[in-house]
Amino acid sequence: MASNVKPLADDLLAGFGERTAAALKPGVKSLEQAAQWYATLLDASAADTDRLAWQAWHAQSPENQAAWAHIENVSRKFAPLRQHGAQGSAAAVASVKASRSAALGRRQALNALGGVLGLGLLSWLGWRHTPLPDLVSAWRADYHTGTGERRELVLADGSRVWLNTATALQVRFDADARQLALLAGEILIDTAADGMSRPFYVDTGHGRLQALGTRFTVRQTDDRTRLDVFDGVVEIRSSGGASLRVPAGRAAVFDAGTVSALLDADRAREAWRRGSLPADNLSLGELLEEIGRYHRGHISVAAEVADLKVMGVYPADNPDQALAMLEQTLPIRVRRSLPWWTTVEAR
Amino acid sequence: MKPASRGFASVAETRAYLRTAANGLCIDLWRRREIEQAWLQTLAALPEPVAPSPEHQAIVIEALMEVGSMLSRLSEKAARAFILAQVEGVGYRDIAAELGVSERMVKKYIAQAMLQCALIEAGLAG
Repeated sequence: MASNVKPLADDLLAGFGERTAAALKPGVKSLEQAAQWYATLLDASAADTDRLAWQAWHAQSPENQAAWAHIENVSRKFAPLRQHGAQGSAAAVASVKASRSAALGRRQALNALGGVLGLGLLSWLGWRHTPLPDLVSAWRADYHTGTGERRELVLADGSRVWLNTATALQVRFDADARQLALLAGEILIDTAADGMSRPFYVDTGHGRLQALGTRFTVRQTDDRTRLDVFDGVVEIRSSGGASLRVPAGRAAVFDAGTVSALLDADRAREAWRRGSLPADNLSLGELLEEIGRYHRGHISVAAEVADLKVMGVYPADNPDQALAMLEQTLPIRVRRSLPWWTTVEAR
Repeated sequence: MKPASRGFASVAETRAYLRTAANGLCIDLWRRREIEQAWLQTLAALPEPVAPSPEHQAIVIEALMEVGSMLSRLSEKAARAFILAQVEGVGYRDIAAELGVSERMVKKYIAQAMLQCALIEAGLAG
């Protein structure tokens, strides 16, 4: 008996996902994917790459998160039986049998009425483990970092670029322009004055940024890009043509179509370069989401503790230590039942 | 019990529907009784008698009812594979040995069962 499989099922009860589940109804396709992921991850032979790919899938869309929340709800239904072990299993098997004959009786009654409710057979074949866009883009990037890694580059013009965790970047310098393409993740840039006075651009999936002598971070997620400017000015031009100049101390979020109003720059967006994660009245959920970016496994936060307020500075390069620090100051408990699955719940 | 949504053409049809619904309720009642009995027998058969609280019993029976109906449309092997993994945390290799199928098949069963349950849970299945 591979007893190390059980904790996954337990951890699925942790309440993670409940917050998003109600908001969105996933389609059959994403449920199919979620079920397939579940079967993959429950397998004792699941590899790190599977977990990473699952994370990317999970992060890909709110629909995927909603689908996964249903997977967790299903798993939760088995909880009362778990403590009864083999008896619980036997009773469940018996219950399936009883339900089957009951369903048969019910179906016969319905047939008499003319309302045949067949459950459409769902096709499994359509879905395979799709290579995820993030992973794919990393392979064609000039520079990239894995989860939990950071890297510093000095470009040909003397500009410095720091790559945060799970980031992929292309660099193209030619006679006319200095161009970076952020394919995934987050970068902090300290531009140098260029002897050839070429413009400095950063392209993301959502538009182009032009740096006007500055220090700024660009973070790209699937649906948008966030810009925080710490020095100088950066101009955003979204793919759809919307534009905004963002001065030092301010930030903005944009996607292909729209650019947000100016926000305050978040100093956490600069602090990661030094390996620290400042939390200034963040919620635990937000901080753990941030910590999760540096962590190879998945961190699941129970809904009842997700809103706890957190202050302090946490190490970005050591998620385990950060979790231990949180455990000391908050009424929470951190459980690691599988190496890649961490649960944070009320103590 | 879909017919309710489309309205009834006649009194006779309404009656037929109510009869069916009542029939369904009876069936569920029998099913509950059957499951309850099976569970109590299981407990009684244990070498060391256990007496869980009535509340816990109710929770277990409720879980059995729900799990039972969620899995009732699956093949017997798929349902068993899923139960072994969910309830006892049995690994794929051991499930494969127990059911006499390949590990790949076990993984298929698990995905299939989880999808079936998730569809029901999400309100997307009949």
